[in-house]
Amino acid sequence: MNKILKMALLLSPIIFCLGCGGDPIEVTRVPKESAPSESAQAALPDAPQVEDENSRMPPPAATAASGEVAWKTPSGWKQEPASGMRRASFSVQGEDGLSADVSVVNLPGSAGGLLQNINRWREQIALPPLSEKELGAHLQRTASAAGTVRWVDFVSSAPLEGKHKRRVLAAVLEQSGQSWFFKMSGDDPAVAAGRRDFIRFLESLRPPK
Amino acid sequence: MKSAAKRFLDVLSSLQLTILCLSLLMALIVFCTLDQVHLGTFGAVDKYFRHFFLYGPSDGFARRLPVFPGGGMVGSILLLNLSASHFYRFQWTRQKSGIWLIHAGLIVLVLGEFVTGMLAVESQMAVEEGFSRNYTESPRLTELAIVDASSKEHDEVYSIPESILSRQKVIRHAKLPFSILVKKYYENSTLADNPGWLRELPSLATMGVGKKIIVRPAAPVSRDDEANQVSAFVELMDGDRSLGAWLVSTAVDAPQGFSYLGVPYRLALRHKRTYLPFTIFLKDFKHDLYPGTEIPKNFSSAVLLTNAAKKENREALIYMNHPLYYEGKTFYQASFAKNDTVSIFQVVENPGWVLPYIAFILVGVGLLTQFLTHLLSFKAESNP
Repeated sequence: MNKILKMALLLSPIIFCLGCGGDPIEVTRVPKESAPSESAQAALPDAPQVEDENSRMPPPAATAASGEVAWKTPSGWKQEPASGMRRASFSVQGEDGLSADVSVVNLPGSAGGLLQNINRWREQIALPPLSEKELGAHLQRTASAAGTVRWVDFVSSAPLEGKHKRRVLAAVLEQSGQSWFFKMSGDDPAVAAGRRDFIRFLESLRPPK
Repeated sequence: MKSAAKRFLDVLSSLQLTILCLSLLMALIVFCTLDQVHLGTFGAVDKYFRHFFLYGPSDGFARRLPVFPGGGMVGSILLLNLSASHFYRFQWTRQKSGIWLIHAGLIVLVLGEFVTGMLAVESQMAVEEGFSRNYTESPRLTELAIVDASSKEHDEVYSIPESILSRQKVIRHAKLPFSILVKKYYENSTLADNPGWLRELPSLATMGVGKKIIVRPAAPVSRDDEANQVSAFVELMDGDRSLGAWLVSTAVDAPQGFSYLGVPYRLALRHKRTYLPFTIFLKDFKHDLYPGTEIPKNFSSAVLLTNAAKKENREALIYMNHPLYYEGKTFYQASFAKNDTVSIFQVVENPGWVLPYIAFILVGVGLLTQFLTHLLSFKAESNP
């Protein structure tokens, strides 16, 4: 049997090499395939040297959301077009021409985790990140028909642009394997004035039908 | 004293080596069968029989170490063992002709498995009624396709296999005016929309749909009912100058277009395509049910096969157990989609398909010869 093992060891490098060898890059000339973007591309003679066309591309197949969470919009919130990834968008007018922006976005799964998202919101208003231990002290909870909504309220330590501090009210609801994010942001006086409506808005959340 | 070469041949042609190989193969079959629960049929066969070694878990530093011979290794040794004993140990006599044939049959059988493992290709072709296709797609392999669409008559497709994409940091081709820098590669991934305000994991993509998409790595899958969603961030470079970085993924349906130096290109990570020298046009797909039930009775596809080079135009009806054979490829009716308007064919190309049949005939004739030879000699001995 010892001889056999020796033989196997002797043969193995030769046999191993037989299995080596990578797939090369293939170049194939194929009949023209119609591409919807081609005609649009030809119509842009003054485009930069590298031209990106993908604003016209369809979104990935993996992003389809299932049911939508429903809510009652507070009076005084003006519905804005839900551009980009926003499921809904509102503007809230405050005093002195100040306004706050409200956005609703949903993402599959935990979307990076609660702490990571909260620290990102803090970063947006130049606040230092929180640790897992510190997070509990800042989290507030509101009950809704769609489940418990966890939310935070942060004010920047100094004005970032203009004369007012910036404020972020942001909430997360986990529903049917998706995370729903509701955020009101803007100048501190405008967000402070809209805070009560924002909490009522969170309380009005209903699960998808 | 025996020479080294003779000792080598003695061991190589020994019955002990045959038994060792057969025992190892049996062990591999048991492992493979048990592991099918986790890996699926394709994954388990690939792991246990399509490689020369089974590898242990990664220690996080070095490459994974081989822990057991794989089917490729055992099969190779068995093939050498059978061939050596066939030509070295056995002498050609009429008495031994049965054994010769059995051995020859086993050699052909092992060779057939090698040919199948190395050369057989299974792919799929999905054709919509009223449309034609000139390529098949691999359900498991993917490729990064860069299509030069500058010609009015044809497209030039540069197909970079996933094996290169996953291994190489920089990919170059003499005919492409740029190199491809693979910034990140995901064997499996999930994609989600990236709202700008969330600043969720800033995308590596500076061009295309990827700017608004978050990619998260996922554990690779190999079960029969699952598929990996391969994704990568690739940056096109002309020397040191970046032309932009794109997210490419099998989850992104459409190719992404750009133009460089006046040449329009399309970029897509897609299932590996094999272009055919002919086209299949689907005239009609039928999905018949037993009357009054939802139980399928028959699926059939009426197709028109056109091979311009051979000036061939032929009609065929593909249905269950009645595939279309053409140019070494077999088109089986496999599935359908889109409210019975899309027909899906399983396309099998196996140059070694005839070898198992030859092997069985040889072994069968060998066993019969051996039995009859012994029977006749026994009869002759008992009737002196």
